[in-house]
Amino acid sequence: MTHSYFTLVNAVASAEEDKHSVLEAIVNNGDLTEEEAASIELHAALLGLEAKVDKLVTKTNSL
Amino acid sequence: MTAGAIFGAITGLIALILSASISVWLKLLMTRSFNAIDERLRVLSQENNKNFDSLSKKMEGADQCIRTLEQEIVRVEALTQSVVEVKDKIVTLEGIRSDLLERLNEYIRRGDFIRDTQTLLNQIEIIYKKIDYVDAKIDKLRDK
Repeated sequence: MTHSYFTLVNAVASAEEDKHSVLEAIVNNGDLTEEEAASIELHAALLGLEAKVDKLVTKTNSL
Repeated sequence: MTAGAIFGAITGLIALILSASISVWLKLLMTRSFNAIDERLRVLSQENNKNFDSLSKKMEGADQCIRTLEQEIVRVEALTQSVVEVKDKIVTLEGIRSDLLERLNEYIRRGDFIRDTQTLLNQIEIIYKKIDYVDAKIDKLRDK
């Protein structure tokens, strides 16, 4: 369960298309509850935010 | 002297000689018996000493065993105490876990979880845009 949770989070974080739609499709398929999907989406968004901030800090430091 | 007196004297002499002989024989017999008893006592005393030494060594070993056992008992008592403490902590943690699960379920049941997650996602989206804006600004600065 924990393993599949992190696998899903990483998959959603690195997905190019609309993350919410991807998760919505999984929820509609009955593989995830709405709360699980929301949690995964939030976790993935935080990972993306962390990556963006790191990138920005690197860029700022290189000025 | 009459014949009776002579007979009496001879009989008395014989009795005296016999008595002396029996006395000597008895003395010899008793001496031999005492020597045998002495020897037996000496052997018994030696065996007793040997047994006593062996018993003393065994007692020392038993003492050591008792001391080791006492230490082990102290250790086991300490471990038992630790196990009891750990069990108490597990019970406490199970209580906390159960309470947290109940609160989480209530949080989800009220629909607050989805609502708050959506709010956070919106805020993250805004931060994304702000970062993109700053990123573009940095690129412009770099170009100048």
